[in-house]
Amino acid sequence: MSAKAAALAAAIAIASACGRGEPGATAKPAEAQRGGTLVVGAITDADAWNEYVSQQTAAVNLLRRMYLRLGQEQGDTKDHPPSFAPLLASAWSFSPDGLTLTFTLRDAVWSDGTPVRASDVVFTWKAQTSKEVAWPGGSSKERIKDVHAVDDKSVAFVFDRAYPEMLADAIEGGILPEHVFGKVPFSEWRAHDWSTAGVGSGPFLLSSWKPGEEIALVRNPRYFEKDRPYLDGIVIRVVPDLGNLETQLLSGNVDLIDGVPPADAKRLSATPGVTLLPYDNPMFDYVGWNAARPPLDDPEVRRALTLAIDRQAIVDDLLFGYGRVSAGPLLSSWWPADATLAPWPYDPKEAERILAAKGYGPGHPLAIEMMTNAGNRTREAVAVKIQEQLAKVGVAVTPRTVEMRALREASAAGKYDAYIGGWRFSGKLDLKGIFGSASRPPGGNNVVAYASHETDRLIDALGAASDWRTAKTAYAGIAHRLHDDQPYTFLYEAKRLVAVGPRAKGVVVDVPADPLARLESIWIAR
Amino acid sequence: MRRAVAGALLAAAVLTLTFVLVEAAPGSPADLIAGERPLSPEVRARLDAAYGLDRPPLSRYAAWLLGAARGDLGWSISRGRPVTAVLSAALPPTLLLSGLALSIQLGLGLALAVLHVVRPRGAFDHAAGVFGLSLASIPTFWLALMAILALSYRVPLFPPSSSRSIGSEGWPLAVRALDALWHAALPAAVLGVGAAAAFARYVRAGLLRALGEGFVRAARARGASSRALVTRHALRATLPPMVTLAGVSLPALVSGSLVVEVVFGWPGMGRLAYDAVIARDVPVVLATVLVGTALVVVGSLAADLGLAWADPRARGAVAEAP
Repeated sequence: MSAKAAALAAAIAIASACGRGEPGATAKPAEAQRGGTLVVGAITDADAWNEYVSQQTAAVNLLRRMYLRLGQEQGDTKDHPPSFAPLLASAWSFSPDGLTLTFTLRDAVWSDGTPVRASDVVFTWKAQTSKEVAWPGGSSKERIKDVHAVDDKSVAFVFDRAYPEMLADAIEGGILPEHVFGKVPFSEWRAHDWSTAGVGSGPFLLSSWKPGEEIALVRNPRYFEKDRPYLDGIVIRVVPDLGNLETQLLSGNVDLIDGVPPADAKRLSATPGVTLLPYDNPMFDYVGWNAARPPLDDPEVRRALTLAIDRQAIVDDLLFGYGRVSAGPLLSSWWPADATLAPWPYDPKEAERILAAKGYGPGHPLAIEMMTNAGNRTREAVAVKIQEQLAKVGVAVTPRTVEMRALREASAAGKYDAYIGGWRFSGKLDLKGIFGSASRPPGGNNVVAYASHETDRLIDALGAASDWRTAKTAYAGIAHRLHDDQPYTFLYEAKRLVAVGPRAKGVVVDVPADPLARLESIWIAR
Repeated sequence: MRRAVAGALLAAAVLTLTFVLVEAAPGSPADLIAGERPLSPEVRARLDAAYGLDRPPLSRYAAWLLGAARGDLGWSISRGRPVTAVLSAALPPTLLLSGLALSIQLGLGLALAVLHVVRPRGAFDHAAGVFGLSLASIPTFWLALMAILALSYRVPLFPPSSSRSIGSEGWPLAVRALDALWHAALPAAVLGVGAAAAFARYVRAGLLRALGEGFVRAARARGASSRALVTRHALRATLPPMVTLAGVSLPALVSGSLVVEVVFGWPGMGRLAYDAVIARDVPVVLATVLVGTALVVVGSLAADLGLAWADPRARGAVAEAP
């Protein structure tokens, strides 16, 4: 099969997975009631009301409900790249050569009554790729050579070559109204107060913002789906103290909290009317071993350290079971993961044997300082747990807690032995940036200074894959290589928890990294 | 005039020191933006350029000072608004909370001290002493959480967070004012009650000292009652140090209380300054320091003027003060 044919097959497979028609939101329950205000508790405030300027996940999750994407990602990422339900676009199709993706926009209007046009999509792409705007997600648009309006309601994305995530990359990012956002030059976007923009396409609009205290959203009367949203509005109460928020959930003042600590899960779920919804968080935590410092440059030593860490005990004791042991950087809920690759087992005897063969033992213990970021209580506890576990094989770990930016600076400068960190996915993981030998310090994110020609070759092969099945094979090769080399000890994939109070109904969390994806289907029982 | 020059020099020194310290701390706002996403060096460089962080520190500091002289305190990266807007949003809730807390501190502290002294070494004196010491010893965050648990959850008398009710924008002004007071009551009580205990001991010591003075003994010889001795004579003598204390409390009044603001979700200056330091939001850090420094100067001036009003003997000294 040629590359073009493969791309076409992949595109058709993905497109057919969602098809054309109505949004993928949950079906309307018979008893759903209209009206009411949902009160959401949050520990952090929004920072900016423009997705391309905002730096906070929580703000972006709200902005996604105000400025719609062309399609809504579905939660079916386990067996293939995510499919998309129509959203601002009603349909899409690939050209015969598989390099042009054309979206047909639905007959939607902005909240001020102006029709949503293809020119808005073109304008948004210009913003996404503007160096002045400096959108951190801009890498999703790297392979898009051009975006142009075919007519008022059709817009074409032209790619430089076919690859598995073409649809996802084209859809990434909310479409902005050019007639509002275009009034501000890109060079001024990062110093502009967007809270007054006021015009959106989603089910909700920003009604008011009291920084540090409260965000109020109101139903968009011109939202294209006539029977949604059910709610009149949403109020996000910003209270940095999670204990206070949980008390408010129990007393009925707050209806929903995202990010409840696993330690509180049992207590909250024991309360009548409170429901806990765990969901996959696109993130893994790891111990990074500094390969620039012997003996951590030796893959066998790193493997021995992994064997000596009882990661299942960490998941059970510190995550209270809300997570799973990591086999590698490819999340188990993500289609590139190789289900046949099992995490290294907990085997302290084998670890001891390897370390003894390397000259380490009771008479010559291996001493490691292990850093982690202050304020992350789970990681602080993990560091202590690892200290206990490695002590059993004669490795002396000294945990050291430092402020996040100090940790980042120390790791980027290679001034550490080991550190506990985490990587968050944003659609896809930049394996080249994290494990490629060209990304070693200074400057790159491969701060563990891992270098393997074989891994580099496999990552390049992944970059050249034109369809997702080929990519999956390439991903598996990388995963096995990293499994053998253990540049990191891949610790765990922690689940995130949403707590829902008795008033809120219809809460469904089925899209990783987007707990509010079904916000328009939530209703209040009265 | 000399005070104004001294104040300006003090502000310049404090601001410069703050800027140097913030610059010397590791990390940059790009780290905040990256979070735990692997950002490429190119994107980091673009972000630095977009916020002007690629310019030398001295140039950025000079630009901020020039802007501040024109009333432009810069742009808050972490809050997506001009710093003046951020400050003006945080100041009123802080003034309300701190003003109320100070009223509780002064009122309750004074009352406790007077009761202490009117019946010294009695049951009340001992009980109040133990109670006051206990309150002063309890960590504020714990007191705040217990207050929420008791008075917002078990017996829901007060709101557990925020400075206003949901949907209060459309309410009449008087109702909104009452709503704000209702929301401020619990956090202000937590702040004020703990401070009142310490203040009461301070005033009590002053009162006991004044009661031993000759003019009080003379009043007693003239037949003044115990209550009159305390309230009319001794209390007046303790007024000057109390005025000084209130004056120097002014900066703390506006800088807010981080712990109470965090626990109660109160949108004040303490949280603003703390968040800005964490986010390396230099313009906000500098602006909060500028406000704090200005208030130290104004507060000490107010204390001197208040002292001159309360104690005629101090008038000459104040006039001669630099």
